[in-house]
Amino acid sequence: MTSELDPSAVSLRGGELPWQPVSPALRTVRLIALVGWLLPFLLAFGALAILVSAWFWLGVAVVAALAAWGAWLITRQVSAITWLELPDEIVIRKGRLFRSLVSIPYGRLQYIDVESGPLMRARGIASCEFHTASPESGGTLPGLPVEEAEALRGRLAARGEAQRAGL
Amino acid sequence: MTAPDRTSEPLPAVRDLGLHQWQHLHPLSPIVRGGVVGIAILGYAASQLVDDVFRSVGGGDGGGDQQSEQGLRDGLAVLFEHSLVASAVVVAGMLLIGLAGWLSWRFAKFRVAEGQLEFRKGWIFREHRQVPLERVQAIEISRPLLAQLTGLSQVIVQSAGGGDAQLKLAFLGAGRADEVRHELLALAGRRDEPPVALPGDPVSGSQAIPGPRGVPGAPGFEASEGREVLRVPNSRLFVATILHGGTIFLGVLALVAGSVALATYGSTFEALTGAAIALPALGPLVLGIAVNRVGELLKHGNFHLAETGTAARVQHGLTDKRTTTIPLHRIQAVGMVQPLWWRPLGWWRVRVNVAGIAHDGDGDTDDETTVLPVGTLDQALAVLTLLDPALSESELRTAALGDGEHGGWTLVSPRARTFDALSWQRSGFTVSRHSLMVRAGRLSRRVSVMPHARVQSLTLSQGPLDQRLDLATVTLVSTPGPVGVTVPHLEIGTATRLLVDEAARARDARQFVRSACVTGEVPSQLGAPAHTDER
Repeated sequence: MTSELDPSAVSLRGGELPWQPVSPALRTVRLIALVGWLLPFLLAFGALAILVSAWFWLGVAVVAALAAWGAWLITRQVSAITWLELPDEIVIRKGRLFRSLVSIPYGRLQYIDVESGPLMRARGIASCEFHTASPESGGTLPGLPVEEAEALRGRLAARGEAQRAGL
Repeated sequence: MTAPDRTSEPLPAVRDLGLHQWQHLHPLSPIVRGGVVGIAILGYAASQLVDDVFRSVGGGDGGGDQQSEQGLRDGLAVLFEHSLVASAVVVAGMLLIGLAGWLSWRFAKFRVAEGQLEFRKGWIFREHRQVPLERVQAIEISRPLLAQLTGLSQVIVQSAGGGDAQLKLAFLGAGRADEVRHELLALAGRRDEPPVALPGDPVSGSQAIPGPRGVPGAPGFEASEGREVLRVPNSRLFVATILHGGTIFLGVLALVAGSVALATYGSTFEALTGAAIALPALGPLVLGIAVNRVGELLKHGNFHLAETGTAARVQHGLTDKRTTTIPLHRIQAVGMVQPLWWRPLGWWRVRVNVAGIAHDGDGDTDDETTVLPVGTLDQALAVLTLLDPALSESELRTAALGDGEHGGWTLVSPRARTFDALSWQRSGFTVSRHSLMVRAGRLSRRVSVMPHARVQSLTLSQGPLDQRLDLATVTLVSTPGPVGVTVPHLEIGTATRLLVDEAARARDARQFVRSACVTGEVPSQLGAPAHTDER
């Protein structure tokens, strides 16, 4: 299927290629993590507001605002991650305000990490990290369903082997 | 040269030096390695001993009437009673140190076996390191000051992967170190090419390459010193090192402060007092800059560049003499820079990214990736074309000095004028069959070249301002090193096209290089562009 795709149609946004989104479960996971980070602060400020001074409600408001902003950001960010398997490379797009597009040739892949923390595992997703000989060029593709991530790794590893190029 | 060749091939060479058996380091090496600390301890111990003796002699002096005789006897007595103990302790300590040294020498050994360089050391805490020869990136010789005095050298084996991936054979006799280095290079060089056989590749089975000794490039590894290309006079390096943003800033600061002080105080003496007061505040800054500059001078002093046909050999170091070998086919990107301060003198610096040479952000590593610390444009171009013969000198010259679109350059978008007020007519890129060339900077000039075959991955990025102006930045990602290949602020359409086209070119180039490795035709060049359709 991928062989029909035209690599020259790659673009930073939009485009007629079938860009694949990541799993919406990633949003849930990130939201849970965000809440996990902010909840203690919220509780602490709440307790202080009740026990010490009403001024601490200000802190509560700030944390709540942070949470709302974070949630909005996460939603926007996750929906902006799309990726595409081309005949010779994998392309990952990320970001809305700071857009980026990474194109990693299969022949350059050194190894692929698939990892998922407990939270991600509970939601059945994993993140794929692609390593080339350069530490800075590695792309990460978070939030793929676990089976898909494993399949992707297998597929890309095989293609990488076939197209392997010396340094 | 036939089928069993591959397995038996390291043997003939190994036999020469007996590297397949465990080898010891030079017996002096623990002392040299202990270096300054050891000397300090020994010196301290000796001075204590002498002190003790003299004090006891002196003590005897004050005590008795029959001064000299009594004193001497007392002194001897004390020496025999107390100082004997003291010296016994010292001697025991020295013996212990000696024993530790001997043990560390006894248990430190290395050999080459089964395609691996093995190094063992330690008696109680044993350490065993193995470096697969095919992972060896470079082997260099380093001679710290103390080793120079004792005629020793250390062999440093760089291997792929991370910062601590180096193995130091410290120390060997200078001649022996050279032999070992050559031998290891010869062994590693044979495995240096990417694996010849792709699994199931029909070519590799029948038409095996005729053994590395047959490959024209390989013997270059063994050629001893190579042909000297250039050396940088220390005087020029000195001037170039002084001409630096930091020192010039300091000079200007001193001038301004001096004239202001003179104007306000009116007398030289008071101005000097003021300077004396101000100096401590500036002290750390001055010290920092001085250390940085002196470090630069020490690192690049006595700079020689030689070539062996397949590798560039860089010798450098004012006190710590080092030799770095950069195999040409491991060079990932090359770049030259001309800081503003060097422009009146027309000097350039040439640096390279080499796969496997670890590199931190500042460009200051033990490992040399500077192939020309300072030189004229002609020298810089000569070095660049030597490192990569596919580069054309005239193109490089345009890149270095030129601006505008002539000569096939694509410039940054005119809309980027706000970002690149000075250099928007100069910054840009051009593409040849072999590589992509980027130039930037109006005041300080920069040129980077990356062969298509070396592109690791490509990125396209766009910040909020870029988005408003419909611009984007393309980066060709290389292995870690001082040279970055980034084309900033292109029109979005140009940028996307560059990314897509470059991906295609990189793919073709990779396939060509791969096929070249299989056929053994172009064993160590960066991929001659002229034969692209041969595959």
